[in-house]
Amino acid sequence: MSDIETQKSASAAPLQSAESEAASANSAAAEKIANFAGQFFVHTEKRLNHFDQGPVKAYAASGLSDVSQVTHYALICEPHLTPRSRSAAAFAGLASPNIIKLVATGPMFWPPARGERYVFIYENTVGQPMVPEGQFQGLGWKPEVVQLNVVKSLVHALLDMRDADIVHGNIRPSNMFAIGPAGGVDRVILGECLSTPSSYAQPAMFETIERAMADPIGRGPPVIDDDLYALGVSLAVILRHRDPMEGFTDEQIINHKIDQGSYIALTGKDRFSGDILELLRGLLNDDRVQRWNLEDIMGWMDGQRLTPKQGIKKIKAARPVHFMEERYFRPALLAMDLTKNQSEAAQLVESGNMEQWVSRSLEDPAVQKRLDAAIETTSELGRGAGYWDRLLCRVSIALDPEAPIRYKTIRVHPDGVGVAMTDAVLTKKDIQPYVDLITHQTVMFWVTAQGDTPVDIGTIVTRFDSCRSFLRQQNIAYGLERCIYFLNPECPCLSDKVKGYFIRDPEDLMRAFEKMSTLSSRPELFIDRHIAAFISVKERQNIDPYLIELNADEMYKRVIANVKVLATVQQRGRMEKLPGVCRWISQILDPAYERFHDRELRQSVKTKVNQLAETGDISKIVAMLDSQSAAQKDTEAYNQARSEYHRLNIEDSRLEAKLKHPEQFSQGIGREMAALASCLVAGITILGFVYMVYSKGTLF
Amino acid sequence: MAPGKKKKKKGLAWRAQLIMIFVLLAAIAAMPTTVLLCIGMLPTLVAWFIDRTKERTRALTVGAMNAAGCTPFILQLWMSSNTLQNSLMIITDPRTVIVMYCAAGVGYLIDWAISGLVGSVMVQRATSRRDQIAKRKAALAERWGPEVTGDIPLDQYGFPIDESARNDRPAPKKTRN
Repeated sequence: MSDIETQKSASAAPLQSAESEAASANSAAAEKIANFAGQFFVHTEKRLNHFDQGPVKAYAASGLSDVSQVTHYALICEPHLTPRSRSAAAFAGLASPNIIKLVATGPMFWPPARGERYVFIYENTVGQPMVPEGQFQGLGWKPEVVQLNVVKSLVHALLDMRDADIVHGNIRPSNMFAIGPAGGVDRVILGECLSTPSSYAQPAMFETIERAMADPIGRGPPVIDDDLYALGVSLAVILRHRDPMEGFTDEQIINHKIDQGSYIALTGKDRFSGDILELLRGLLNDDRVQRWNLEDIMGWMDGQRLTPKQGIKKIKAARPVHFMEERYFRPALLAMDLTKNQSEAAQLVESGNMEQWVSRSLEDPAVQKRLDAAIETTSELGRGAGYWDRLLCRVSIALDPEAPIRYKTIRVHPDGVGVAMTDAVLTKKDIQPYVDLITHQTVMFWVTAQGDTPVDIGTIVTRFDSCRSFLRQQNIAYGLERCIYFLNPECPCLSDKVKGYFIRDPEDLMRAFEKMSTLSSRPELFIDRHIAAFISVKERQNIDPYLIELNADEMYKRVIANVKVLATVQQRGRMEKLPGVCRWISQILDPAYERFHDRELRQSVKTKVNQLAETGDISKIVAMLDSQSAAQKDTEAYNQARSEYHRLNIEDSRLEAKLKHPEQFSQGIGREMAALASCLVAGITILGFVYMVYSKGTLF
Repeated sequence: MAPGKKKKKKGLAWRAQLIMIFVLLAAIAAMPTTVLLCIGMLPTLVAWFIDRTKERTRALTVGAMNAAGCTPFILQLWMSSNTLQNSLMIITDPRTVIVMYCAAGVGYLIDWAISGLVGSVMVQRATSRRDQIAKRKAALAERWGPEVTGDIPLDQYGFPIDESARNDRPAPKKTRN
């Protein structure tokens, strides 16, 4: 676990600029070595094919001490396949000798892809897998060896994982490593299970019938029962001498399992006896309730002898129904094939033949009830576009409720919708079927059809109800984008703005922005629909208070809201200083400055923000921009300025009018002044005369 | 209100009539002075009729100086025998009329000179004030932008409406479902 923590702290360490990172990446590419957080070197050209997990490729990795010594291997995750990063810490914490050791995990710049990829680094001490990938014909090992060394190791591994609340979902011989002297086996080590979505790399043979029916991407997280089934198949492969289903397609394997039951389908003509037979029958029971659990296996290992029932779970009709020139006895098989020929399937349902077959030949009132409900509820949604797709989807659920939802081209279990949607978005597949699943309440119908199921029905109902309401809202942080992050909590941020970065949480996002801040190709604003939805799902308080502003028509409101969101993420995450992001912010704030009327104030605020940007604290910039008192003073001064301008206009107009007739000045004030002067002179004169008269002509 | 106003007007007319009667009686009582003034103050009477302004300031200017010109002769009349004959004798003296009318002329001169001077000063001041106003308006426009002029349409916050429109956000995404 310490390695995981080191990696986390390393990623939080002071960040290099994106360009310097790109430069170092270039040099690393030249040396064919990628640096993982200063802890490991991953050799980009040294492939270790035997550790591959489907499309996820394995590469040789070495510690810092000796680059040439390949002590580890790295699995470089594919962007469209969501890795199980949340389980990484628990998996790394497993102290089991029977599980491969995860030593480090996290995003890493991967030179061949010119971007970040999520990486798992495991110890490379296990050698080759028990069988090469895809070659599951049979090993023919002795039951005693298997019982003593293989079963014991794997059961202990599963017990350890159960204690850590992890379900593997990737148990198969090509992901197991035999340890022991040459030609012998002491114990078996279980390989990794985190680099792909649950069970994505698992061949259909190792999945239960219901999970195998789903698209690999849409299988959803497994439960321990699924791991035990995969253990049973793996044991069968190790024990048997030949593959009875050799050359079969996945569909044929499923059909064969439904027809024969998993045990017969997997063991064929191989005959086992004694203890190992009980174990295989117990683990390969197609009925989840009847299948052995870990306690049963522990009891068996302690010598208790159980007699597992063996049977075929899928029901069968007395008479067949004809579809696509074939005879179908089992509703599960018919449900699988219904969408292969929509017109004929529609005719089968519309003509009533399907109902007739269910009521007369199948004689299962539960199926009859579900079929009636499927037809009725689909009609309620209207017979417009997509009616037949909806109807056939519901009919297939009615016929085989434990199977995945089959709608148009997709086959998914409700728990797998999120991961499948992520894959569809990133691989540019049609996303509309997933939207339809949510809006048409298909998942609700699937839920009501379920009997005994290991999934948490209540959670599924709540999730898809929420998603339906998200889709009704097209504002930023809602819509389809929110559904993706809501249904797939491990999904990294899919925004094009942060393409090339692996963003797991809002803090990662901030660090990516810091790296991007010096790039000329950086976007103008930070938050788009994907980023808003991502942040909102991860931590509501970071963004929800600003959603109204983010949705505003005015650019300045959106700019300020962007900055507020970033400030909140930095503050709530108690993150390091981000001067690059601050400088970026300072360069996009013109619309915000323009909300001050006073041009001098704008310049003053701009200067202060530029100074604050160097501190790397976004909250300080927000405080500067969001000052209510400054805004109020600005508005008051602006109103005063407008009044003054208006007064000046009036005065100017009056003066202009007067100056057009300058004689009015002399006629008005001039004559008044003249009258005043005249009166004054006259008064003095009169007083002078009076004085002279009364003083008899003598002055004084 | 109307009856009140009428009463006030009636009161004023009555008071004016009383003053007129008093002046008339005084003029009759001081007939020699009245005769002298009637002849001597003729320029003022002319100025009163010529001056079309409401305030009749020119008549006041001329009248004041005209009265100053009449003063020595009235004092002469009052200091000698204050009779009609003496009054006629003074008024028929050409020097008297010349002095009186010249004084009135000085009044005209004052009116012309001072009103012209004051008028040109006022024009100068108004021009200077207009320059100041233009500068102040330019300073306000520079600091507060063209929106301070009140010539362009503004939004509720006092910002130009066009500016808001320029910053308009891109069209929102269409619904997918």
